[in-house]
Amino acid sequence: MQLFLGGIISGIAVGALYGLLGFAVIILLKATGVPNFAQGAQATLAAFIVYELVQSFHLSFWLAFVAAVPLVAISGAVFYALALRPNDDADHLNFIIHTLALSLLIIGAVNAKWAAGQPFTFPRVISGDAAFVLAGVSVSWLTIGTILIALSLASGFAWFFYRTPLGLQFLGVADRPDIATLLGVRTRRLTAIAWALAALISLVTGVLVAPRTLLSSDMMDFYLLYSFTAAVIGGLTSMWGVFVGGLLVGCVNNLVTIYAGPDLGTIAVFLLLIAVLLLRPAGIFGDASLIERL
Amino acid sequence: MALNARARSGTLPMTLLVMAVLGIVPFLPIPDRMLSALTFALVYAIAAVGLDVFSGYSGQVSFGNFGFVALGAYTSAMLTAHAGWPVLATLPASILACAIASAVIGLPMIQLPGLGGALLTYFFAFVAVVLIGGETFQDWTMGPNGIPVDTLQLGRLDFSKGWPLYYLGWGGLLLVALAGDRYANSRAGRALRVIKRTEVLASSMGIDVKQAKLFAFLFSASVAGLGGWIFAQAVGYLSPESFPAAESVNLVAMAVVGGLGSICGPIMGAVFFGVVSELTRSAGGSRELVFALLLLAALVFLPGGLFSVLDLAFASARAVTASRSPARTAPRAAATPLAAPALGAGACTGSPLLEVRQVTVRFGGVIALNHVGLSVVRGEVYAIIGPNGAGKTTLLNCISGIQRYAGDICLGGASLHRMTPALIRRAGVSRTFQHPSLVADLTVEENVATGTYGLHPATPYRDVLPLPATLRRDEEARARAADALDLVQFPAGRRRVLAGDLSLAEQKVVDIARSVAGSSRLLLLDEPTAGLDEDDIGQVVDVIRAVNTQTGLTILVIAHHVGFLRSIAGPSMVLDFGRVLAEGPIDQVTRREDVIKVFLG
Repeated sequence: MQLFLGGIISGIAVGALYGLLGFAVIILLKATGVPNFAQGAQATLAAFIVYELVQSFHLSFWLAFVAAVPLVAISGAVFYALALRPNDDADHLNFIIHTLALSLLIIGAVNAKWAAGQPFTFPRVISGDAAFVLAGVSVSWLTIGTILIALSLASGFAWFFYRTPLGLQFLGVADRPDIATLLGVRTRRLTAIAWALAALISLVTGVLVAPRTLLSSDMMDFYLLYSFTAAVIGGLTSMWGVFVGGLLVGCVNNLVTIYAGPDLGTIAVFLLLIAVLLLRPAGIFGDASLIERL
Repeated sequence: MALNARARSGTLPMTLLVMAVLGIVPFLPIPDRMLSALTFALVYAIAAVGLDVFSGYSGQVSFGNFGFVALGAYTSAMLTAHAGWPVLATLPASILACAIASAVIGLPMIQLPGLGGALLTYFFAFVAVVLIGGETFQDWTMGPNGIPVDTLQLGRLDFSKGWPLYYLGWGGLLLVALAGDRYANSRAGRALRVIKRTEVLASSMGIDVKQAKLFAFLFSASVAGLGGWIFAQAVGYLSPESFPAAESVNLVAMAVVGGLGSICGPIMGAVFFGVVSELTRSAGGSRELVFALLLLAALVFLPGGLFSVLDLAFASARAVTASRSPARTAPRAAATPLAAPALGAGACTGSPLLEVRQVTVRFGGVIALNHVGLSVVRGEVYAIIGPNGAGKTTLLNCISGIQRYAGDICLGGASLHRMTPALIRRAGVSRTFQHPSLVADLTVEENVATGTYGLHPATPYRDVLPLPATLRRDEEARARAADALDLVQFPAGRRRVLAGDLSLAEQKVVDIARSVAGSSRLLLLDEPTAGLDEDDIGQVVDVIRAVNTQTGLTILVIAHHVGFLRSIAGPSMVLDFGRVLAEGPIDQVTRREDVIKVFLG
């Protein structure tokens, strides 16, 4: 029972991270219609930037984090301008592969700059000490912090999207880009902002993941896969669904890993994905799309 | 995830040219490393061509096909290592294993819209690596330690290295490229292209969409299995590190960089990847970076892929030769009657062919159709009039099985309720759509021929093989297409034009031809004049009259152009906000004050 509860609690913490990265994916998907395969690489890069600031300028973690915020936000917009803005009326798959190329580019740059010594130990943002003990299972500050951060970021963005004029413009662009353009919304500028926001979420995800996995260029591989899984399970149109998806993925993966080994843990998530999609092809909270209009 | 890139016919000469160039590579003075890089490129190309059939021609996305390469390679290695099979005997097993695995994954995948299916395939490639390297099947896969591969030797030739290996890959690729080309240009391939255009249209034409997609996926996976078998020979020792899941995405990147929907393009893409990756080897630590930059540049500056360059060269060469040789005309087969034999036609004249009873459709709180009923008599042209949003198209969608409804719809006394669009098409209901949705990269003739695909249940493997029965069927489809085009008086000189180059008026007429090419008892026309000017409308009027009088086909037409309807229709019905407002001969109905008010107010 203790094992089970422990699996659930750490599953929730890691699931919140899947949800967070998946949230960034969904923001871009909503705003631009493109699933960004580079989201994981952007998180990795952001974590490396923080690491570099700590190392070279001897900043404290928090100072480095604050200094990284504008850098990362700008990098997000620059990536958009570099990789996606040119030829943005191209075919959809062509576009998706652009994000893949961007991902290769970022990881290539990271490996070129920080060639030797990977993986690095990353400063712990939040202590891993036990905050309290629940039915014999100790719950760490890190776990609590991760969940709280994920929730507050998500609430903040939900408020931004549904309560501010800029956020509403985003939703308008996501819904009907052609009409939004006709109404004078500057869709490309909005898209660049969306990339910057998604990059900031990646930054938060990156600095929370790096202490867990050690800092290396491939640290986000599994996270990206599970984040996409969380987003698809939750329903790609839903901003909250991705967190439910993340928690499901995190818990299922953790529990099966504990009782049956890591291989089956991965396979269990795969089966979960198939099962959810067969029952609800648009995901748990997704809009069942209407028939294609001809 | 709709792919709107092109899907081309007639690329075989370019494919053969590229293969010929690749065929002489071992005779060139290139370093061994480059030959080895190109050998791997050939293996990747095999999988990429398979992917092209699935992505380029049917418009689906798979980010997991390298998982099948891994499965094919491991099947070969495991059977030789543990079961003592000779290497050559493992080839069919490698292909079969991939076919089975793809059927298992494909069944859920093809039902999913958009990103879900793509994620499923990517996850599969991930799981494949986990299973290979993990403990679950360690007795067979040898886990992270890897597994040796027996080398293929025939006589004194060792096919695991050097030029024999290169030609093993080249031969495999040639086979796959020819098969892929045949697939893409067979009936099955054209059906895929209709599906890529829109699935709703495909199913309303009687194409079994799920079966067609599944078969294309099966093809791409089996081909990847063959690639995996050769890959095993090329690597010599398999380990989980040889098959990272990211390679599956690279495979898609190769196909995109090369140019999807051309068979030839993905080969060029794979070679591009191989060569660039080899050339950037000297860049050392920044190799990945240089590679990524080149990939991005190719994507941005050549959105149509490397193929588009080759295509341009061929097009200008063709322009030169075309001016010299006159166009050929194909011999025509005996004409076949277009309209289905009306069942007991003599006795039943005057009895209703189509009966719509109390049909109701709700979209959330909106009632799109409210207890609508109508009956259409055999041989007549029946019009449904109504302003935008009256529910006209929804009603057609109900009849053709695209839209669910409450109530009942009967054709010749048999209920169509809950039947699939494909079955309804087979029962004799064909339709056009407001937007003609022709396949841009097929000619007029080929587009019209796709209208006959609903006549017979599809058997993709037979459609791909050039068996006598297949050729006969293709010939029948061509003959029916020619008859249908004659019926709509489509000029003979324009029939080999690609549909993408037609005017809107021509597209509308071709769409009608397509829907009458397969036998049908009832033709549904959705806004056949939308977007046309008065001259073009006159032409459509002639076409509809000709179809009705020459074949006796019953026609149900919806439009909001009253003048047009008055010149073709007899009986009619007016819909307004989902309700039947008036019913009767069109000349009387359109004079009623409440009807005029609906149209003017």
